[in-house]
Amino acid sequence: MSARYDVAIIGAGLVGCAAAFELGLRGRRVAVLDQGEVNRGASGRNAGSLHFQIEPRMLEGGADPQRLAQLIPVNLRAIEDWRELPGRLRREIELVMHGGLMVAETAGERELLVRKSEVETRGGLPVRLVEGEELSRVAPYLAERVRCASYCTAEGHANPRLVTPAFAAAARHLGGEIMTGARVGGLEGRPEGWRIHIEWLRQQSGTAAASSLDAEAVLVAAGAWSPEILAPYGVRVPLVPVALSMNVTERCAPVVHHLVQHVGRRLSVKQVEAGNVLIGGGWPASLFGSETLGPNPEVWLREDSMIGNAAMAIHVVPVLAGLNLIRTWSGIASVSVDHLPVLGAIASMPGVFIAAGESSFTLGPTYARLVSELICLGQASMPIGLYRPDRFEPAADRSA
Amino acid sequence: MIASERCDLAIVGAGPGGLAAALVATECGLDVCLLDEQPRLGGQIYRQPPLGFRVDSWLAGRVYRRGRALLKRAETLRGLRHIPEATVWGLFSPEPAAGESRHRVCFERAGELSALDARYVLLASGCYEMPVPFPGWHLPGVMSVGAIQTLLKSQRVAAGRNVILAGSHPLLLIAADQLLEAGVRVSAVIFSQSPGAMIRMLASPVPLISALPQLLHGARCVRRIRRAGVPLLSGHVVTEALGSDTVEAVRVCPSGHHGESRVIACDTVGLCYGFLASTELARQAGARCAWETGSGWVVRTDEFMRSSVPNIRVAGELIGVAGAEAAALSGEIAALGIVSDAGYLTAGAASIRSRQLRRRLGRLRTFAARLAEVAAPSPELLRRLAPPETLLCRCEEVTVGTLGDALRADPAVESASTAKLLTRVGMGMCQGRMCEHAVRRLLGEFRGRALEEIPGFVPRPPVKPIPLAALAARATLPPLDPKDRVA
Repeated sequence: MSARYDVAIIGAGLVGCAAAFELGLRGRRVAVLDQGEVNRGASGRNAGSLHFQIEPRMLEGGADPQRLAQLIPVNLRAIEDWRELPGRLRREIELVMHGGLMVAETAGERELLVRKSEVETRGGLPVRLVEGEELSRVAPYLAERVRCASYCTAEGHANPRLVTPAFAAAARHLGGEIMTGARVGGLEGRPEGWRIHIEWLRQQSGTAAASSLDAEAVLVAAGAWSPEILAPYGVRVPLVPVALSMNVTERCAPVVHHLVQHVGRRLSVKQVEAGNVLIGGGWPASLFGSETLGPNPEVWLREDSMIGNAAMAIHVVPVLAGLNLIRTWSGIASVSVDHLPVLGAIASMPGVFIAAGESSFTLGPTYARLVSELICLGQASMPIGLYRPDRFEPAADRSA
Repeated sequence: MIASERCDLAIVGAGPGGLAAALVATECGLDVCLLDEQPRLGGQIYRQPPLGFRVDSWLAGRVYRRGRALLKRAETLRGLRHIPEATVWGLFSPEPAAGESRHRVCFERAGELSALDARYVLLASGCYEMPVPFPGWHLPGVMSVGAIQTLLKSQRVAAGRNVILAGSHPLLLIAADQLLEAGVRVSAVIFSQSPGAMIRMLASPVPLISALPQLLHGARCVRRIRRAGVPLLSGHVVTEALGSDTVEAVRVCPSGHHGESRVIACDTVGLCYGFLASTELARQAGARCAWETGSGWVVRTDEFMRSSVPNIRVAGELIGVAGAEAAALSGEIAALGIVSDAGYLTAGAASIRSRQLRRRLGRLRTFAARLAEVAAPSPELLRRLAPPETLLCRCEEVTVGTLGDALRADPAVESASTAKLLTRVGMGMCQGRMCEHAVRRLLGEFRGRALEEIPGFVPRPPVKPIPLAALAARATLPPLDPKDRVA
């Protein structure tokens, strides 16, 4: 006899644990499975930025304003979601929403910011252009070469160390079960839902571990690992794994008061509560391996990324030159061709859903909310068609 | 990119292991670079005074004769490139598919970064005392016995005026002898083991014979300590360092659960509960390691000290802490393997030359294993020394109790890295060197697993902190588009 659940969630990262929490609030009996531990993938290894401005990579090649406008509603929802989160979770997540600056150095970059903030303002995002004296007042730590910035007052950061464990603890409090070291061996369709076969990668302490469980619905929230979970069933998840690197300095007195990004170059800088400065912004690490990532993908930090990222950080925030780098790490994110997440029902597997990829820290709690609504109510409270898993398939194959 | 030079062999660490390897490899014709954090050759065991200083009767003892000879040969050897005051912070290995395979050894020197592109890398970075958390261990004046020795050896600096030495390792005896010889007052030497346990160590004749010089040296130290009237306490532990801004006294208790505690005044405490090999570079490079009591993470090798990463070799304490003579032997064996792999020596010759060395090394390692067994503090003792209010991670000020609470609250935490994410243990400037083993021990206790099974923090570059500006100085940022520039 397999234990029965309403929803089985594959992946104990931010999206999986947040969905377990949301589904628990809706009275669902939930099990979360992860081949590793809670929060050990990209959810715990990103830099914790909460960035709600349209990302620079969305602006590449002069994206059309109409398409950009479509990106805004989910960010507005995410701002609300983060504001409510400390109260809903009642746990410390070191949430700071003091504002974020996307900086520009050149006339061309400034032009990009102007166009971007017009779209954002129209869409209701609290963004404005700051330059000259006002910029030096708002952010005296920026280099003189920074001439202009778009300022989004809602941006900031939360601590990736704490957010997912907080969701996990809250989900457990609601009766959710989180099983770690539990690799999904297979999904078997049954009249009343799905049977999930489990391969235990570690010896379990306590009671003997079951080899399968049954669930009415399955949510794949395994980030970069999602494609390899669904591949055996002929489902092509349009996500590609990307290893990114992050750097952190020793602690210092508060100096960087915002999330700092660059519109034309790869950079994100922020100072966390403990005083360390986190430096990232999409610099790659090397990811070796075969077609599947497996439980322990081989990731190597790259010398050129460390150098480039350090240089960019000092270029924009010169005071960082006085600090020591004490640690680097990498996480495996997943990206799609259109930089949008994969969120929705899997058409060919009734009762199987997915929520993975792209901006899953900033937007993860919102993705989890939306997909939980979809599972429980049959539709999400805002349009998510943009993110449908089969959006790259030939139109004829689409069911609706 | 970091500007680099090429060499056949880069050796990290100029202690006995690195020195012995450098001699063999250079004499066989390899282009060798020897990197070390210190200004002069010798490592910690043969720590030399700075150039321009003279220390009378430096390392005069008989046991150092071999070391002094090794140093002399290395210092006069032509063709060996010594790169002093260099901190190696990262090893970047060629991508598996890459054609030419050279390892990139990145180091910082005087605030600047450089690199060596080496065909072979030999890591001989030594070991450090296993830090043991107990109340007050962060107070100034509480230090490792090695630190006290370093101050003495290099500049004849006495770490304090009134020293207490405590722990479980016989190195305490040697340090006490050196301090007394330098005229420093030693108020007590305190061993956690019972006298019976220490005698049992000597019961087996095999290790006894192979380590006769070391044992005789130890016996001479004991005689001189007794003659100086220094109390030699066994079966006791320092359970607390007392003082406000600096250590002023220690609380000493019987190792068993019964008996009264007493307070002994001092201004310096030197501790040694055994050692941890400095394998962070090897682990960062992906070399397969295993946990061994008395040595920490040690690198798994074949008979020529080849690690699991092609062309990365190890020597000295990195294969298991066994002291200077064993380090020199393993360094020599590793070098023979390298010169024969590089085609400078036939495999047969390397095999013949290493056979004798390997036999001696085997005997020394048997002795070292026995010593480690006797010297290792029991898990019960370590637990007793660290009640919940004890600082576990000194950098981030996380207590034993805080980690315990986190482990109780989240039953899914299974590794040191996850514990780090939850509590910040190991996130500071020491990069986990001080607390990793204690974190893992606690995890093992909570989860009912053996220490060997608990994964440690993941070592990544930089394995030592480096100035951000030094990294940035090596960058060539892509120039701005000229059309984009505003006049």
